Amino acid sequence: MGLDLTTRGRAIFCALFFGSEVLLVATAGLRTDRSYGFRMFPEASTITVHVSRRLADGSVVPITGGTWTPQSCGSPPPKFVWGKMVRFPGPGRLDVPVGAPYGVENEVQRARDGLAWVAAHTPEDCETRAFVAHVEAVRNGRPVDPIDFEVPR
Amino acid sequence: MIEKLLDALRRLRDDEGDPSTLALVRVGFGLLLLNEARLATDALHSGFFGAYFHQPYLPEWLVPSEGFYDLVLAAQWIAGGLVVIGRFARPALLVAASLLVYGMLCNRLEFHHYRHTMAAFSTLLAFSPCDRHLVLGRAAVRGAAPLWAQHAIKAQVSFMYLASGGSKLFDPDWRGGLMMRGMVQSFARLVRDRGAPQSLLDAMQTPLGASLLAKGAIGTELALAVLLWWPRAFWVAVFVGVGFHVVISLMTPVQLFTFEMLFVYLLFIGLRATGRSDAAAAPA
Repeated sequence: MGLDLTTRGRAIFCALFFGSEVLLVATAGLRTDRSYGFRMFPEASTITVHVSRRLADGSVVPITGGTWTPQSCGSPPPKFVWGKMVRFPGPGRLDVPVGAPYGVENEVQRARDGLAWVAAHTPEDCETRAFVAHVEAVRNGRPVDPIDFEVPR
Repeated sequence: MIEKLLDALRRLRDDEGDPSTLALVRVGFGLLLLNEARLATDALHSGFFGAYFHQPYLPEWLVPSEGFYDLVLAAQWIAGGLVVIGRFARPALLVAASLLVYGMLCNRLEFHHYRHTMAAFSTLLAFSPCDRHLVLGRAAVRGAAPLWAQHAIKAQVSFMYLASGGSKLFDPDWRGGLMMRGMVQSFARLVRDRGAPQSLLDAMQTPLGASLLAKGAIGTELALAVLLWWPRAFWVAVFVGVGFHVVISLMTPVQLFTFEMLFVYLLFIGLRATGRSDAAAAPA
């Protein structure tokens, strides 16, 4: 299969292989999870995600126990369970601290993307106009400023 | 100086020796790759990852459907098996490495450093004569073989230590021990269950203890990156390196990465034992 390289092939292969690795390490900071940068154990952090629903009248209703049941979307009303749609190692539990092994920034991105996924995959929810998230984070033992964002549907 | 460096690189490139250790390490990585296939298959029991929240790096149309993912898993199993038995082992290593990376690109949530390093080591191993020994149904092919890929694996290990230790060194929370303190706290129960005395755990969670531990870890990684190439310090480096990874696996849930590193250390020992490669690795 051509895996026995000539001396020239070895040099080219090593230049490509290690050149790519240098590139990945140099750009690791641009990725929230610092992936492919060999940054093992980057943080000992946690985040707590609180999610609410913004309804058509503008009111904001917290999601409690990780479930919500829109009342005006037919009978029987559909029941949504956060933990069935967003699972570990994503932030699968709401209102309790979850580990952020790849850092706060990455776990917040996971929460944001998770929320966007839920927003896009719950067409039976006719009530919710947007999901509103409030994230409390502790980075390496120290609380950081809470992060708020909203994902429209 | 540059000429001496180029000369050393040329000798590493052209080095030849006994490749028997490579076969042993190939079997080890084959088992780890099979384990990856097992983990992915087990994960399917709770549902196909594409059916719930996942984070692809790739465009969604490149993420496999459930049916195609079954084929991917089958290919993972077959490739891992071929690596273990030695038949078509080298192409199988490349296939297995590619599938690991593909899986991580389809779902960033499945990224783990050990998977990235497993893919990197498997790729390098594919370019080594790791299929001359321990092949099911075929006698060993005796004689010297090129060892450049074996040296490349060693360079990969040094590169990893440098990147890992360097990133920690430039991170004040890591350098100062804050991260280490938090990590010891979060894994305290695990470490206690593994027999560590409470007094040791308490000491590691003090600011001084955590700071010393962090600086020790950074210093160890950076030192290993260099010492593995220095013939006089080789055995010290192996002893410290193996100890370092065993301690990490005792203090954290990290196990598979430890196995990978123990296999590559075995490779370094094999490289040392061939004699010729040791001369090539010596600084010019």
